[in-house]
Amino acid sequence: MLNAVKSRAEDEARQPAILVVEDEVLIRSAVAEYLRIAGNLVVEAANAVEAIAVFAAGVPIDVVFSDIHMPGTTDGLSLARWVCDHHPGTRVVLTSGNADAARAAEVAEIFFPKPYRTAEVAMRIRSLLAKVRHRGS
Amino acid sequence: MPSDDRSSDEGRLSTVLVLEPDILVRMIISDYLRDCGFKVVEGVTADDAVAVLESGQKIDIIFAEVQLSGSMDGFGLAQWVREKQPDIDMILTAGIARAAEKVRDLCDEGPLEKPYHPQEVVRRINILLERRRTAPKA
Repeated sequence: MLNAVKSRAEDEARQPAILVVEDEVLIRSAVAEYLRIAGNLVVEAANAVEAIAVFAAGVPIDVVFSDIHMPGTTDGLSLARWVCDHHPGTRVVLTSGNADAARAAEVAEIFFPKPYRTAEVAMRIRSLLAKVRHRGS
Repeated sequence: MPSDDRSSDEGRLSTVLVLEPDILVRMIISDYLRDCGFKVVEGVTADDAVAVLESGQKIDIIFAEVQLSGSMDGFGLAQWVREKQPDIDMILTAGIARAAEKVRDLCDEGPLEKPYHPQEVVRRINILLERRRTAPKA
């Protein structure tokens, strides 16, 4: 079954895969649902450890959209650094309820202060992926 | 893919709340259920389920692992749901055999032992939805 998820993500290569990392279930499910309806393949993780497990399983991820403040030993900034080191082709977008913009700018391509508008998140991620594809073509 | 009607009485998609602490298991079963036409909300703990239910979001079925972290395990959640939202059906799953008897007390269909096949989860969900559709209105 895991292979089915992986191969589906590969088959639907033009359907962007977004990993949403957020510990608040209501926020996570709302943004994940919006991004799915917008045409993305979305994987939901509740913390950085889960996010790394998704990468370790070989699921191809185009964009990580992560909260900075999460329970556990790895926060969103550490996760972003890990992604940059281990999966440099994956883009990182961060969000936070605190004024973390300066720290986020070091590792993320986009930062959204909370509360964010899900429509804006979806639009900015789409633009980011279009820019990446344009550069690659 | 099964071709049954996945809509609820009100015409919206039936919604399944999947509670599973293992991200890879949760991702796979949630993905499968979406492919089968259900709306899926993913949670990790029983507290996630309480947050979703208290937000007023309409949930038809909860599919939960017995061993959940947080203030309640799957058994505790099943009891909480029975008291607070008895119109929601629960399916519990466990990788441990000793959970079977206790689950039988809380779920009409009995436990779903791990590793389960996703098709079996869909079969159980459809049984519960059909039972609700055909139940006499109170």
